[in-house]
Amino acid sequence: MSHPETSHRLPSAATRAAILLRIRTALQYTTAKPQEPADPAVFPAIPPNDLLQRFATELAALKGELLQASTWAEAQAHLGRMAEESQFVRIVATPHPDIRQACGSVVARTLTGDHDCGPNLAQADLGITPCDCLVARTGSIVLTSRSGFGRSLSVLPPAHLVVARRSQLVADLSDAFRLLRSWHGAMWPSMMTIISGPSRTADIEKILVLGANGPRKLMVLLLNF
Amino acid sequence: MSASTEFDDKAELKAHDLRHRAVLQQNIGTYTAKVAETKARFLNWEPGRQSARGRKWEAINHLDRYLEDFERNASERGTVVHWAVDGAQARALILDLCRKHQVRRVVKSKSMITEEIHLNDFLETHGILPVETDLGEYIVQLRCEHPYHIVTPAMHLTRDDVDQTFHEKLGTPRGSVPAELAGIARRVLRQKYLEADMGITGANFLVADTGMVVITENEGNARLCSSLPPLHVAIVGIEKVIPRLDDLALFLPILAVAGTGQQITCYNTMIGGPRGQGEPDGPVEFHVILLDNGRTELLADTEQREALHCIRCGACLNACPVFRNIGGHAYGTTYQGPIGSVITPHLRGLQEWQHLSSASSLCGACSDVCPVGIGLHHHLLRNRRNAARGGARTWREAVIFRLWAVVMQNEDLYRFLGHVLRTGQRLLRGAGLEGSFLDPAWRWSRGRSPPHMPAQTFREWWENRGKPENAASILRAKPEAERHNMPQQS
Repeated sequence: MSHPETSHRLPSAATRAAILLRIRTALQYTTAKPQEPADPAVFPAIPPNDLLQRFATELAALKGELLQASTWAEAQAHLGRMAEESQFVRIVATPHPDIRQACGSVVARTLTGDHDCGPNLAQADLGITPCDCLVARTGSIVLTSRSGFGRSLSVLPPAHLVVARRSQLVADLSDAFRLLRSWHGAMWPSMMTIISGPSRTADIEKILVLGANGPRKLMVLLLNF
Repeated sequence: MSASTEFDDKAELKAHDLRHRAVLQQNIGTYTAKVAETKARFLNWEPGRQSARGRKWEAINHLDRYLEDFERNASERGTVVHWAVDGAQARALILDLCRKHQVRRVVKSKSMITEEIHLNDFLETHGILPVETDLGEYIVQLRCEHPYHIVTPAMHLTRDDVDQTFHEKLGTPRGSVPAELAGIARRVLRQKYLEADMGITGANFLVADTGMVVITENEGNARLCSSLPPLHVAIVGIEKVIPRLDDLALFLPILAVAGTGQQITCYNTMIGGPRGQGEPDGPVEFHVILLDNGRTELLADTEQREALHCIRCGACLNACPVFRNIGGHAYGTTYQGPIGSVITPHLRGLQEWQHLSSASSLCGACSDVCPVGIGLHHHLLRNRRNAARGGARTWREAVIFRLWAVVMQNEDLYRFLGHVLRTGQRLLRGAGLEGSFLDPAWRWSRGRSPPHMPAQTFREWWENRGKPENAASILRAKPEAERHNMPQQS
């Protein structure tokens, strides 16, 4: 190695300048630009009418659960049944009108501020959040530290429920990025994440195990109205 | 012991370890089937990798501009961007942060660059406890091993090995199945996140136009490491930059397909700063360390610059017949397999690490599977050439090639030695001594089925080819493998 071990004594501005100088010196010699593909279509198009079907298929393949409701009563029934079956007692939710409506008689503690977050969420059974959009091609949920009310509510509790509108469904990741940019481009949230199924690992003999560090259960309650 | 001798010894040992081979084959077999299935169903692979290659080319060949864009955009929202020439500087930066904030406990998500700079050992010697939170990394950390594979760190272990490790280190009962083992790790690690003073992660991409750090994972541990502790530090190689946020719509699927055969990994997280205004949680400070550590040397080599396109998916390891025989630990490097053999000589010195480029059949399987189209096997050949420019590696090699040149230039000598070799091999085989310690080629033949030289030389065959008794050529009479003089696979 050409770098002396004592180099860490350089001040940071000098380090920055040194690295940029090395880069610029190297780039004085150019390389040929590779050929662009003749047909750049990487992903086959999904017809607009198939979006919901595709999202449902992909989410199921990822072992996520999709619940659909056409009325508030249906949404509330879904949530009530789920809370009872899975014995969700300590439910924590983002303050959001759709979630408040969907919860109905299910008691969910609504987050109010930072004193509620972080380690305090470690005892929760279920976190409920809205999302920014849903991606049909990969069965993904896109949320941010704004829509998700911070970073930990959607990852720390062992189960995560996303309440979404059908109109939030888009075909591709590129559509999702376009939307995120139009909504947040002026002031980005500090974190955005694309969630595709419940937390998983295959680190032991390639055997799939759900709930590695994040939620074991991922559910999407889709409001079709 | 030199890195080269150590490599020879470990490779020799692992290549003949049948249990190791079975574990590896099961693991890579599952991977290969899944990748093939996803490639066929999910996307048009060839245009995908060509586009990915084009975008990485754009980023690497304008690296100064994109890094400055990243720095400006990230700083605007409160990220502190540091630059480090080498591992020592990066470690010093982290230690300064730890001291300033009285950090005692660190949670880490999987990051090969922290392996590259030996961060864990360094932190421990300064009284700071780093805990790996990716399940595979946690397992190898408990076993005091290094990651075996850049994507699948515990690929070499069976469920029984992990069960044994947890039993010894965590006191759990024996006989746990993988789901239970993952559950044990989950419970232990959960506590660690909540207690940690700092989260350290790597990154898969740096997005220049929005100043974001992108982390790809399946477990959620990187999200937890970057959400709960009050400090988050991401250490990132300068080559990870991509021009635009929208490029991720291509890179995330491409990386997942090549890395694990998934369409997209479970969590792809873009972090653009510390906790924002009105956000209820997240770290108070977010630091990004941009690390060079030899990458600019690779950049200066126009012939091999494209090796910086690598997105560390691990596909070339899984495809490589050498990796599949000797496994990841034999390499003795942070980055194993073909990509490791290509870049390690640039990062850590050509003469000491050039032997890895010779441990290749140049079959090109690595280049075929690379999702960003790096011509890996060509680079292995270039490393060999560059290393040979300084002359032979050892005096033995010099003598061997001198002798070889003499023989090749003397027809009678060549013919005579050919005769000796053929007869010698026939006698050895007849006596049943092939592969025994009386065999002069013992070091090679003890673990392999040697190719058998044909009874007739090409010259003899050529001279006799017109005669009727030879019309039914030898070529047709012999089985396929023997005809091409190929070793029989055992």
